[in-house]
Amino acid sequence: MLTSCALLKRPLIVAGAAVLLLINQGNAQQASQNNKYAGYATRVIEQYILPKSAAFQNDINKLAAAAKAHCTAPDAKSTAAYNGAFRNAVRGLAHVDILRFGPLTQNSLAQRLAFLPDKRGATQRQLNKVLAKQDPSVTSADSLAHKSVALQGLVALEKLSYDTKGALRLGTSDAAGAFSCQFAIAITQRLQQSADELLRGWQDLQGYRAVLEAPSAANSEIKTHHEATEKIYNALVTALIFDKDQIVLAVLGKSAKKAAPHKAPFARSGNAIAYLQASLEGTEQALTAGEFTASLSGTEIWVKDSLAFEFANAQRTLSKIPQPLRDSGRSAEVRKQLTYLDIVIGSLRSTLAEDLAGYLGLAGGFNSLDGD
Amino acid sequence: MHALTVNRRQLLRGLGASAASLLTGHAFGANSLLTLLEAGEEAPLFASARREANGSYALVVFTDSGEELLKFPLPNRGHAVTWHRGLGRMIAFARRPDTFALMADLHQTREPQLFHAPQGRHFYGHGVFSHSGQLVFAPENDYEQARGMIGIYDVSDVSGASIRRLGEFESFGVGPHDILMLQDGRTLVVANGGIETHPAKGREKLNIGHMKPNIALIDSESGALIARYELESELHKLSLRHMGLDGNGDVWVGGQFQGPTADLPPLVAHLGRDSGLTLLEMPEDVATGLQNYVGSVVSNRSGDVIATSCPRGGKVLFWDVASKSYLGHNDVVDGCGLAPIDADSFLISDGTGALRISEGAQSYAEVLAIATGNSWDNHMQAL
Repeated sequence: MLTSCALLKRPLIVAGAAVLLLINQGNAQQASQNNKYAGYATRVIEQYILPKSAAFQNDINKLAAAAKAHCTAPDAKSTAAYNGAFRNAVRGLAHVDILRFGPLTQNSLAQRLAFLPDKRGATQRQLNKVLAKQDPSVTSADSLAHKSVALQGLVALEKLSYDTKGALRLGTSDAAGAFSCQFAIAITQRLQQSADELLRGWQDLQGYRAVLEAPSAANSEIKTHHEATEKIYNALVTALIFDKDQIVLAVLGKSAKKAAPHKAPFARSGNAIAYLQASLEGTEQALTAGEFTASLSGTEIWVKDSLAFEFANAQRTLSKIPQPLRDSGRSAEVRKQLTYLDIVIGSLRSTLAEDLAGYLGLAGGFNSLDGD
Repeated sequence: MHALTVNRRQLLRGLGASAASLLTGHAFGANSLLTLLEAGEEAPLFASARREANGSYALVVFTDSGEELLKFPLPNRGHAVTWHRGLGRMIAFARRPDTFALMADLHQTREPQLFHAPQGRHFYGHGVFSHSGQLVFAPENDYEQARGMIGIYDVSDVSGASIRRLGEFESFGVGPHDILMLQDGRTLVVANGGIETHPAKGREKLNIGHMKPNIALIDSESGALIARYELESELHKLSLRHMGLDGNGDVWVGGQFQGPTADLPPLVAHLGRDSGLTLLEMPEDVATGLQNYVGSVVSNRSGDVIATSCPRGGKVLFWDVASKSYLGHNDVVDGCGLAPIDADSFLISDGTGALRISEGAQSYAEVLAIATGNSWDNHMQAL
């Protein structure tokens, strides 16, 4: 009953915010007549960032509930529920962690949600220490907040919850199992705080929204609507770079011998493909929400079709890869798909960074654009 | 050549309250301090200027996995960092045409010192310590006379009370940019980019038609010109800008071509004291995408491979020192900062906030860390 009340509350809050947002959108539309770049930020915030941040909060709430339920009475049903909730949380994360500006950049929020990348294995190292000494300070969200960011997010929860074969190992009845459960529940509660922080960060009309939607020369970060649009646009291009370099190339390695499918984020829990799918899906949806191709005309129209075609290509390719990637990623057939995916994502990036950015008059590249 | 590695636990124990509060007051936050304390292992350190997610600028000291140990605010955009290992001091120079520089002390024996180029001069973003660490030589623009100068700063006052400009000498060219000290501890090498600018005209290039870049060897004690190396006249628009030393103590130079964009001139050169400037070839399909622009030039710790970053082309190129030939490349979008991690590998920083490890062209540059929302500036320094 408590849970359903809590669930009911959220849509009301979001609906309340939406009314305010509609008023704001009206103002922004007026401004856009004066400035062709004025509408992009508002559209992306309202039609992508806010709904996805709210959805992510919901995913995390469900994950917290699933962790509690499974730890209380583990059975096949609770296992399936936890696995499903974890996958949805990973997908939800991928939808929001492409937004590398504003709230996600403050107070290490991005790292708190998921400590990625972690090539040096900091998360596992710290988990080992915590588990070895059964550190009581990780068993509540508030005390966990003072621990390393690597212990506070979905990467730590994944390593704690799943064994290297991807089987859920939470919920065993011995003392170690009880500690793991307390720790896991604390992580999900800390994640609730972090997801809430993300949503509130974007809902605050005086917060980072104002930086993007009401830029001014006095602001050190964003001085014009043009810069605000570049900020968002370039973050989406960067998301593609990371999908390619941090996931696809890491899995492929330079040769079959160096293939490392276990290196993909969330490979352990069997969610590597889900994460990548959602990341690409989110990037496309954010571009669509911003209506970045709406002003194209004549010979520029091809960009719109090309983006749709290549994003679809990427998703189709991913859907052909047998899961979990951890097991399938070394096969010649999967390597072929990933090699193709690398090309597709590279092509998406260059269409966005070179062609569409050119048509829109947007510039990217801190060093490439403005080196010395 | 060895990287400075510190035990992070020791470092943090040694840090004053001011450093700790610097850390906790910034984005990585108190949690980072804990991360570092818990990690407690040796890690190579690096320094770089950076644009923060909130649009401000800073000098950051960090490990190869992106853990931020120290952060010092900068008044505006920085460019390169010079480092004196024995004294544990570094100086971040302003990007041209700005006039500030910040000297910071890794051992925190004194507060960071901000100092400025004098009236009528601005920095070019680079500088180099004397071997003793008592002096710093910084390329400057005497913009009214349109001539390059090397400012000499006395940074020896350990109390930190004053950084004094002792004087200057000519750079023997226009637009001096990067500066190195040769292994003899006395000879300075200056890349005179050849491009005339005036702060009243921002970053506008005023003399492309008749620019004449050179590499000048200057006696740091007398200010006398020892040698000057120029390009053949048809390449006079190749601005010689950044440099690195290989294991033999020879100079490698990266250029930025100001001529027609369709031209594909060589962009990388080797300079031996006796052999002079040798321009090096690269495959045409690689050259085509570089927009004729090289950013950083850095050697690995073995000194047998040189990396040159090409941020406009999204590539880092590798060169074999022994044969002076092109080895291959990594793709790194907006990658510019380079530093050696160890004998063979490089750290690459980029404008998207990522740090990558590269073991050369035989592998891809793997992302080690992402400083979310931040942009690493052009050059990185291994400590």
